[in-house]
Amino acid sequence: MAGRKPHLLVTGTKEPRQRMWECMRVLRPGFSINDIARRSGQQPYDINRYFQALTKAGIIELVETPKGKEGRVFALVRDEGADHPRLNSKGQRTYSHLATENIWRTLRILNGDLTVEDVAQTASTEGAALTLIKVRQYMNALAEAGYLEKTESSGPTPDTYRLINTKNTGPRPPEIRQLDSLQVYDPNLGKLVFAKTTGTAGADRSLVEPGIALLRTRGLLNEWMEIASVDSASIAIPDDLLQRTRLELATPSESGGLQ
Amino acid sequence: MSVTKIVPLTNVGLLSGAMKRAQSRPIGLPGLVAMYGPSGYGKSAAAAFAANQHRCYYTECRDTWSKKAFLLAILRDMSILPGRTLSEMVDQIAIQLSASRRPLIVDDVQYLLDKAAANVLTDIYNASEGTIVLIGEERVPASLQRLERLHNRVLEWVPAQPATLEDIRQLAGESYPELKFGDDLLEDLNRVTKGCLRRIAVNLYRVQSEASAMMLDYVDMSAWGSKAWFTGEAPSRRAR
Repeated sequence: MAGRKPHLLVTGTKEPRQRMWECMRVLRPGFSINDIARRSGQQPYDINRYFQALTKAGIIELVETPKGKEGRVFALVRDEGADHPRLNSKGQRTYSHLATENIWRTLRILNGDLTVEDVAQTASTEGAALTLIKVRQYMNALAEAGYLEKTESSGPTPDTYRLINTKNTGPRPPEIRQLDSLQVYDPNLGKLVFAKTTGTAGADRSLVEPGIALLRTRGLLNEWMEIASVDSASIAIPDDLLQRTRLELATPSESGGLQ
Repeated sequence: MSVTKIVPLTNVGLLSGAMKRAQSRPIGLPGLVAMYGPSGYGKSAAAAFAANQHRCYYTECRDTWSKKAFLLAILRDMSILPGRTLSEMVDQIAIQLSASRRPLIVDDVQYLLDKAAANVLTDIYNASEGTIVLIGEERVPASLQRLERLHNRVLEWVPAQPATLEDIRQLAGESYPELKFGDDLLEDLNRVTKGCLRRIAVNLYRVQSEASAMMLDYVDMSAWGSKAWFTGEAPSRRAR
């Protein structure tokens, strides 16, 4: 099949390694780190690490070694299709991504009322062991997001879940992304003194960050007010700016509910 | 109440075993597996289990599907951007199947076999030489017989088995652990429903709700009496 070879491109958003893999499949017989970096828009450092794993797994092969790391040419020797091979740094397969994939597949195939145990039994495989707790967490998250309809049963029979028809969006499982917000409040000072968010890579922080930004702004404004009070004789500050800043700094209780 | 209880029942084991043999078959042997049986025997439950074991692609056919709709559905499950023409799509599917070595499960295949779309299935198989599992109703072997090119590529026929007493006991135990069922009751239920798991599950639910109403924790034939089983038959005309 020379010339016109059908391309297999994955739909939806792609992980960095998926982008690298698709470029490798296009440039099958010979590619260097730089080629992949240019086409996939990923960092050469990350590409090099993935290349090392792929070489150890015997999926790509070093075919040419001129001087310097960048010039090395690799070739794809074992094509595995559209999905990128999931490997750890030693070139061994990883199966952790199969857990949610299996749960999601089970829900899609058996679109009936399912209990957590049903799903766990069907979705457990040798590679991806599932605990009831994990399955329940994932299914409750999907239920909260409006993908599953949860029927709480009375009595000893367990709750059942059903995939809502219009939410059967495709084969790739929805990911759970979590953010933890740590806040320290000092009641002596009557204010929030520290805030930090940590969480899953790729989680959207834009919904949490404004709160932290506001905290920072308030701190800055406080400093600004201090300087203003010290040097008020030498620098002329417009009265209304001071007033607006005071309003911004005032807590609702201090301003008496008047905004 | 819809029922999709999965316990490692007979049919689940049968399909899973057949797929394992098909996946590890020597080069040169055909790779089609056909499972057939009446509706309600737990074929889809078996498919779901096997699909997870082997990371299969899965499509459920509909009566209205054309060739294109069928190919698009498979590509959607592979999450691959579909090509422009039918032949491009067949190529994409075949390459993905043979490169990834993941099997394809086509459920409710009886809708497809009587139409022109059946030849697409042959094309996909010939181009990929992968493992393809066809699941459908009782008349699937007869329909396949007419498609000679597909028929002689079947490695294994898996007839879905009616539920055994052991299956029912297990289903009852897992669904309603707080209630004990008498063997005579389960045997009678199996005889009346002719081993159809879906009806068995519906009837077990009825037994359970009756038993909890009567505050029983053990039900057998004498407790259940001669209350009618749900057999799916339309009610007979009442005399006036």
